[in-house]
Amino acid sequence: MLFNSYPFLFLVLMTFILYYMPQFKKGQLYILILSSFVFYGFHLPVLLLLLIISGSINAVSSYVIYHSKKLKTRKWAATIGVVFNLLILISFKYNGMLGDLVTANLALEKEWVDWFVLLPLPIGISFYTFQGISLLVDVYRQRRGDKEPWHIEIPQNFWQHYRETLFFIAFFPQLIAGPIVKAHDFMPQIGMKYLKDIDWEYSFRLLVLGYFLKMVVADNLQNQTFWIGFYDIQSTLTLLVLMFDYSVQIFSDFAGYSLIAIAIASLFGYRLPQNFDFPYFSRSFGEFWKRWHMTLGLWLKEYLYIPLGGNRKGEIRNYFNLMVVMVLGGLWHGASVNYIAWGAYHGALLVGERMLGHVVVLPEHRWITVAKTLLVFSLVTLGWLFFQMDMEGFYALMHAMIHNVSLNHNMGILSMSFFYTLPVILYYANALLSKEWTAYAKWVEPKLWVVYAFMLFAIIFQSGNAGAFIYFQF
Amino acid sequence: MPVHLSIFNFRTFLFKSVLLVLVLVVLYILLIAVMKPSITFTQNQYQANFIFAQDFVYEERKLPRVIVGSSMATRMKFTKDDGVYNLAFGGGGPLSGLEIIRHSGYVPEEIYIESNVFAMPADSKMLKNLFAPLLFQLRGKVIAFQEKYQLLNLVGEMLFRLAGRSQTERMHQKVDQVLLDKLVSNALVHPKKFDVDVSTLELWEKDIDYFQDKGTKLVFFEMPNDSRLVQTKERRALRSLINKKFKIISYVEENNTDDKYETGDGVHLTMKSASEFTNFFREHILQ
Repeated sequence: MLFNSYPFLFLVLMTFILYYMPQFKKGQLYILILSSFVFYGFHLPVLLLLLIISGSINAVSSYVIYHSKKLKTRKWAATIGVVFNLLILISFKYNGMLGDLVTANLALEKEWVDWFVLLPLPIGISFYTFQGISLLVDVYRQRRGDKEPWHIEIPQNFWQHYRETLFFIAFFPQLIAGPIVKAHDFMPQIGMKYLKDIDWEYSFRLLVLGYFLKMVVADNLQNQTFWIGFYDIQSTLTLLVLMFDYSVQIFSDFAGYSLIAIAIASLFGYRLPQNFDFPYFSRSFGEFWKRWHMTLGLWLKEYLYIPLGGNRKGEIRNYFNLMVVMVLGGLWHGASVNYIAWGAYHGALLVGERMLGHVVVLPEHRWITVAKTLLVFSLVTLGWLFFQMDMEGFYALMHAMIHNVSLNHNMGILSMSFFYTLPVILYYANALLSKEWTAYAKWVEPKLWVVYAFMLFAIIFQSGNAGAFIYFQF
Repeated sequence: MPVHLSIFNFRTFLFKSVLLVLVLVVLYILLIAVMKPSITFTQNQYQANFIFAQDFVYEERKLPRVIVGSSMATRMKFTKDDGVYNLAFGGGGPLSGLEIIRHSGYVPEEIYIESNVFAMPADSKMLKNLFAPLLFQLRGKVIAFQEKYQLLNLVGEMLFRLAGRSQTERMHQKVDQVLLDKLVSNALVHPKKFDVDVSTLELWEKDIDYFQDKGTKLVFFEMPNDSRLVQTKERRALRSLINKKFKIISYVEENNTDDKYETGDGVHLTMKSASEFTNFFREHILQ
């Protein structure tokens, strides 16, 4: 079910009414679980089975880890749980890749391989398996006695824990494209919620901004950016603008989704973590990964990069760890050479940046900051091409960009690009000005309700054709 | 006032925003309903297609002849006297057009089907959006919700009118021979697949049967392409498939072997040639 669809609005409305009805106060968790199942199984109900299996495995494993007195049992439960999560992810997400490997190397019945390869990709699988792993690792670390600033309480009553885990895995605002929620952030929030606690203005702002970014900016830009596939007939300038457009589109699409998810969760009394912090302002690639898809970056850091040794085991090992994390991060997006290449590209940028940082130290100066920001943005933009085309297409596009200088510019694309990227440019400019210039922030804040009204008006009268969110495929 | 009712406080951000939106929406709806501005400006190909489709389904006095096809056929411009509605879609195919006509419930006297992209499936997303249950009725009654009345289309139309955009400039479009040769040789090296998938073929049969049962005259025709592309193995196979499947339907082929009609990219006619071909179509096919 898409966030920008009528069935979804109806589901949220019905859930909201039932959720806060005094008669159903004690059943709030059940209402949200049921709505999450409707949301997830709306188009293909059979996928619910996998979600329930995943939730059940994580509930059982985490329960054993928490309540077992034997260290060995806890270790086994954690290992089995994590392996199960990874197996589910591999079986359903990387089945195509594995099928090719198996066909090439093992003499298995072709029908079995075909059956395996044709298993449907359950949407959101990468997100909810990561959340499951986070639950197991968090509980295991806590029981091991690691000093953490948080505490997870797993009740003695297994049924209570089971429904809380199922809820944590399946909570519909963040189920299929994040933000990736960590168990230690989310589980302690589970409890009775009250209508009076809703921050309406906060939810309204996030909803309007999120839907505006998705439906007005991303969906309209999508109707321009597909022309990048027709690079043969586009001029160099048009192609450059289309690359810029795609950067804005993917940001608006994913940040928009995240804002809607956070807003809807807040209507039900749950706080989801921020997922984007104006990533195109980043002055370094390290900073970019702290601002873009922040919850994935943090997850990879906490559950992969640090356990691998992070930067504590010397320079070379640090570079190796960065490459491993980024390549796996790329692979997490999908079973394709493109995503591996994209991950490796970002890994190489991070390693290169660190190596260079030991040799060159640039002075603090406004123009140097601007130059660094532009460089990071340009290289990140170049990297998004891996999301759009295969390597052959990538080379052909680069060739076209060099050779199509004399072709006529596509004025239609250029003018529409201007109109639809402008709101995002203004959004960034407003953030920068508000941060740097207090007088501006004081002046603009009381007037923002007008801006939000116009954004809502644009959602009604200026939306593009409803497209699926780019990150749903991951 | 209880905290949870604070959204109804007139001074709140939320209340003021929503109130302003309501005022703007009502004003915009009234403005469009009263002015009914003529809009030809479109923001992108998908929107242009969607507007063609909406104009067709919401038109009360529909024309008796309809052309369905791809971007190649969109270049044919007819006058009202021809009695032809061109429901061809850029980046789309004839099956989308046929499906729209069938879903609209209208039965034209004649349908002309451009067959160059016969294999392209129907655009289910567009159909779903066009005939979405409540929206379909709403857009019919409150025209401001129709695609062509998007705010930016109004602005674009005004700007183009101010700039005095002229069709005659486009009529003198020059063919970039180097680019054309490159695109044609690319098309020969990587020929387009004309394989029709089973579900698409089934839908074709369903639509053709439907319109034949209703007594509509159906004519397949080809838009002229660059002469180097019209007799490829793939194209011949496609023609043979269409003839075999729907042999009772008249078929018109305009081979363009002498490059009488010019294309800019091998498949799309220049505006001048499109105009010439429209004349040919009017005289020899429509009758």
